[in-house]
Amino acid sequence: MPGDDGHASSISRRNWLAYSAATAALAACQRAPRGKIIPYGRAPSSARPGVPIEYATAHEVDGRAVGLIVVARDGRPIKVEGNPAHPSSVGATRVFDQTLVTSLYDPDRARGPTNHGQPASWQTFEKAFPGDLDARGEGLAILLPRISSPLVSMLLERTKQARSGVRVYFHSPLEPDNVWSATKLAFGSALDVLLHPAKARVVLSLGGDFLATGAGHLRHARAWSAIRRERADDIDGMPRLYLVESQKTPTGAAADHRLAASRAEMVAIARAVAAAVMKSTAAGERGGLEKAIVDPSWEGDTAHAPFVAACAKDLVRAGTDALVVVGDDAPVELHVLAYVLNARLGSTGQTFIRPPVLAPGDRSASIEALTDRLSSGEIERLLVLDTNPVYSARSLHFERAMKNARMSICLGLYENETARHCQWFLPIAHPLESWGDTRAHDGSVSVIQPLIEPLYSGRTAAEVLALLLTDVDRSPLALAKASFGERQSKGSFDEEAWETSLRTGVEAETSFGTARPEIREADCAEFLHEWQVQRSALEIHLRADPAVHDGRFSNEPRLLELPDPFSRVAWIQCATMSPGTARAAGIIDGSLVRLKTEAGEVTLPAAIISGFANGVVSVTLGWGRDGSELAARGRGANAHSLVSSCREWGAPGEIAVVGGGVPLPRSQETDSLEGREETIVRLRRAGTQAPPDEPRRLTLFDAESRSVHAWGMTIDLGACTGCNVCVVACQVENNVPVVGARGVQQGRIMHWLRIDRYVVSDEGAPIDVFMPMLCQHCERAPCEYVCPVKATVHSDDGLNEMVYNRCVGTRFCSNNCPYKVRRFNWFDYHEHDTDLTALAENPEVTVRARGVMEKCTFCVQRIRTAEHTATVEDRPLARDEVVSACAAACPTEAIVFGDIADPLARVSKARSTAGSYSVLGELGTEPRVRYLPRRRNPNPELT
Amino acid sequence: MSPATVPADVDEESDQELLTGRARHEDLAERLLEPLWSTPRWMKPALIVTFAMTLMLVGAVLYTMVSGIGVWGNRIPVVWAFAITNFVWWIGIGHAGTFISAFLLLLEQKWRASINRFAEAMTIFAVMQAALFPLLHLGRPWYFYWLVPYPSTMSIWPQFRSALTWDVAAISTYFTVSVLFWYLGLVPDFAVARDRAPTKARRLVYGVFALGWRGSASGWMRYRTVYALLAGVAAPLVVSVHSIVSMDFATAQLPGWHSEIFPPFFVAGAILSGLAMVFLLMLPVRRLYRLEEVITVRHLDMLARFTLVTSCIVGYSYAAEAYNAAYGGDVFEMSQIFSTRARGPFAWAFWGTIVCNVLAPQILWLRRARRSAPFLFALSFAVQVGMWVERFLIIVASQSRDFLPSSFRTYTPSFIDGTILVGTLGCFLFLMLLFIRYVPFIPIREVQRLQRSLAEERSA
Repeated sequence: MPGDDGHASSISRRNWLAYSAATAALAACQRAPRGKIIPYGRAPSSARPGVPIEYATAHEVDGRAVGLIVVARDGRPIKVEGNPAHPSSVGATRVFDQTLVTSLYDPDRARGPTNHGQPASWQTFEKAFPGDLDARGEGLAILLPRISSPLVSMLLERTKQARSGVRVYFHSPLEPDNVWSATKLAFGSALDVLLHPAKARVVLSLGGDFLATGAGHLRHARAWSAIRRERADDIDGMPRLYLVESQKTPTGAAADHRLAASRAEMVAIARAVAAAVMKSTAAGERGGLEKAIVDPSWEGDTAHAPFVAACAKDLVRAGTDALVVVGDDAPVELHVLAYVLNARLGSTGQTFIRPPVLAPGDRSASIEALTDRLSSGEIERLLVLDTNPVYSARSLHFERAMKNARMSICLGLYENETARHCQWFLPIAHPLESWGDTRAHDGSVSVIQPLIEPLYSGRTAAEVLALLLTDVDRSPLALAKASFGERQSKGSFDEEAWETSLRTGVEAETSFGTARPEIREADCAEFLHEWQVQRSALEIHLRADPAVHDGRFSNEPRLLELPDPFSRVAWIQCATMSPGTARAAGIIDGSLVRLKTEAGEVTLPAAIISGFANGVVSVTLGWGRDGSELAARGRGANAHSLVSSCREWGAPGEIAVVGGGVPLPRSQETDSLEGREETIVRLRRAGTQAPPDEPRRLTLFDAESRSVHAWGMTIDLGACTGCNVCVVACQVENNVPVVGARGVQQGRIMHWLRIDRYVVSDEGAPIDVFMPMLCQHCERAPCEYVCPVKATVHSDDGLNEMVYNRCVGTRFCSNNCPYKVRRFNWFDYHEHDTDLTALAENPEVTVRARGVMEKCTFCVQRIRTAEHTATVEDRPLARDEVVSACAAACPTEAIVFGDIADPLARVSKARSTAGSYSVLGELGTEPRVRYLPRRRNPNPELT
Repeated sequence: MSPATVPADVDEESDQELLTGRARHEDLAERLLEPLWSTPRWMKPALIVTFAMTLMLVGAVLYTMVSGIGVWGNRIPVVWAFAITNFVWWIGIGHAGTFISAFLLLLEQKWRASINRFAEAMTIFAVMQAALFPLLHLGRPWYFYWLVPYPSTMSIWPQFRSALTWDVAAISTYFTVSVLFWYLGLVPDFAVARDRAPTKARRLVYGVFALGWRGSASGWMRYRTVYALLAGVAAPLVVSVHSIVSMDFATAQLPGWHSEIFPPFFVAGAILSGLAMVFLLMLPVRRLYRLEEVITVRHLDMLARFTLVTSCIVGYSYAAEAYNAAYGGDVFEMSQIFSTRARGPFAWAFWGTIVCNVLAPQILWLRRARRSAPFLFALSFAVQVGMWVERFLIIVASQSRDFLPSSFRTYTPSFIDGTILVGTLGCFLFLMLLFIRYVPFIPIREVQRLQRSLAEERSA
């Protein structure tokens, strides 16, 4: 695209695509099943051209799956929704679930196996592997990501039975290893923590971002917002969140009391809270734990004494309704301390569960162990399945160790960094092309079913593993069925149960039992007693990128263009820090800084945002990629090089300015409301009276609606966590283009729905407010009367419609829109679409030309489709039948869409909630979108 | 007779100043036709330079058309920026010509005679530059005709509630009437040129343009009637064009745009910048062609007085805008005027505007200043810059910081934006040079008439 700095306009790729255009076009069509070719004219009776079909499947990231429903049209997947029946999804999705459809058609995907960089075939690979591997499989190592697939587990079991010499290792860059270490210590075995935040009344989070990251966060976010909404008027019933964090997270933004503290300070605060809690819950004589915790060295830190006292008091008062949550990246001691506190308080909000992933916390199956064995030459053959250790195990210099293997094989979606150092590269089947299975965060099994035959001869990891076995049917479907059969263990294969499982997307009664095991007090006491708190002048923290995660999604332009929830920077990896930290080091926003630790250094532009802890610099993972992913390449630096082990989430370091300030591509330049709080963002404290609804203005032109429906929306500022999934869902649904870093910097981002972030003051406390902003579909739309060619008009059912064909591009409508939600096609943003990438576009939505305006349509295509279906079926439109893409994706149900003419519709009920208001209501635009105030439940003792 | 009428007498007397020198009636025509027959040395390089600038404009326009508006610095929320600033500025410049010709003709101001042709040409060329922008500025300029109410087969009409639809009508009307008025004035002079042209080819060309003008008494009688009628048509257009242009802003609800004072304010500003442009072009020509006897200090004085008046109106409008914002107390309006403009990121433009357009022209209260060509030239330059910056301020500042702070964004123009602005200046000057070279730019017949009437006055 013009103005972009490179990713889509690379000449080499375009030329290459031109040569292979015919191939791509053919390959992109849905292939008929192998063996039998059926022309689409004689399609199965269930397949109707142009009618979308939905399939349930699941998307596993870091060993935990989120259940999805994927919509396919004419055999090609075009949209992803959450599966409401799935325990980890509850109907919502994450940003990188949404882009599955675009990554499927990613032109950078590997097209076939290669051997030493030369094109090869699966047949030649099958000759070479297992090849002359001895019967015991001695010298073969398999490296897998931390995976939860029962099928892979079954295959590994059988492989070990058949070939006892095979060694299996696991590696994912974002493992909750500290959790497993802590649970091992506290309970005797590696366990996962299962949170039930809705059961709690008082929550203390120590860096725990349970609403936006980690296992089951979609579920947590849904439950948390629901209970807060339900008890909005009840100052004691509404759960209160105390939070201490060093970075900024969506959960931190949602907290009622938030403290920014470096990790060392956080530990001090946690210890002080623990000491206070232990003191007031100690019954009679003091045990080992009290001795360890109620200690002067723990109680210190007077700076946060009021917070500590109030929080501890609140926790104790809540008793079993109290909950202490700790972030995955926290030190083991802090995890143990949280378990101790929860146990002491009798918290019901935290239970424990067998981790769904394989070999949790098993050091002998870690990548370090593998590297050692490789270096010592014990391993001759290395099979890397869908993980990228050369990139993510930077500290181990994995590429050097790999050289000792006689044969190295890499299976992946792209020819990534690891593929470059392997002899064999094999393309993996995309999740939407695969048969398989996986587990949710609570252990529930979902079958992964393909929407389309593999476009490029990709195979699943299970298929490759099956090459090591002789007695299995290696077809992907057969493998998935075999795994299912083993789970059913009823002797014969239950075809009906299989189909039910495929249809619902989750297998009943497969979740693991949760428990509250007895805590080993003595061990914990001893461990905590020896706690040495590490202090450093500057803590460098690593974390998963909110958009591209650990780098596996970093070739996705829509994710790259997603503004960071706090810094609002897109396309660029930043070293994020507080103004205080920046001032101390002479850094200004956009300065090029060098971060240096014992392990290595990276050079990045600095992004300064308030609310970070002083003395902390945060860098996200997933950047600095150097594989065949053209969009990802050359952006940012590999932050893994800052740590000396794969289990570290940060390191002490130094920071220095090395270059001048470059303007960062930000989607929003200021987070201040400039004294306009009343009309833009409203806050509402629990138990206070909501301000009265503004009266409808008198008008001479009260046009009666001629339609039975009136579409509207309600957005709950109290629920929005700023996770951005609505933004991506909208882009995928509505074919919204990306504009590149330069485009973002110039203010040309095309997002129809954006999330504004403001910092407002609630009696001195800075409160982060996320405000999803989209076309307000004003009943008196200021954009309409200024258009000279009637290109934007009003529909009977209240939509502000955009007629792309008629638009000449005067942009007057944008000027007159007080919400600035209209987007202009400054260039032909679809210029570089290929036959392949165009397949990801929604055929129901026009691809807009250069020079026309566009904006949110309230997903008019969904409304009209539902209306047509209802008409054909000769029935009225059902209540809440139409859901916009943003509302469907939202984990917290912050966005509710529907027919406001129906008083019983969800949207109408939400609108009639006390305190609902229109943004800039006094302008008289009468928006169809109403906002619910940002809910707050601060502790009266602290304000 | 009261003493109040005395200054009128003084003025009457000083009308004699409008034509100095002792040229005879016939010599005057020769003298004024001279630039048509000979090319001064500076003309060729000037034409080459301005033509090169015109080519630059053509290049930038083509580049924009091929790539899209994205090559400009425009962005959300500043979707109108340089192009519309330039448009309003050029249209404003295009006001002085018709104002001088039509208004002053109707008011029977004798001093208009030697400068009206020049000002009219300036108007036409300025409107031509201005008209480029609304077209080029469209996202899909090839559909510009959708703004015109033509009977389409689909029965789709433009939307008449939008100010932009009226813009098209206002500008095209103004341009048409201005061209007619200008050409009508030229007909007798083309005839003079035809009669005195040294070569046959020139005789032929000027003859064609003279439309067979013979200078008969009946011809003159009809000519006068039509000229006066056209002046009557053109005069209200001077007011309507910029009023309608101002509606592009005033009808929007943007803070800083939504203001009732805009129509008169824009008209006054337009005439101010137009007068400044007359000075900027006329003073060098007067000097280069030694026309001090025809364009006298008396002319300069009169133009300077108008400049002062319009500057005061503009100053009043600025004050009224600030006062209304403060009196209304609207948080958005207040923030726009006082935070964004007076103290914020656009303070340079705000104070620059006031200095150039309001404070500097106050020097014209001094008679010496009004009669000093170098001073007037410098002042006009300042006013011209000030008027451009004022439009930039109104347009860009209002858009860049409107209602939701999340969409506040600073604006930076692109290289192409600058190229197009400079290019239109080049194109404008190129057309002016061609006009000076090939068209009698001082109305010969009008000046002769003036000479006669002044002589009659003297003898009376």
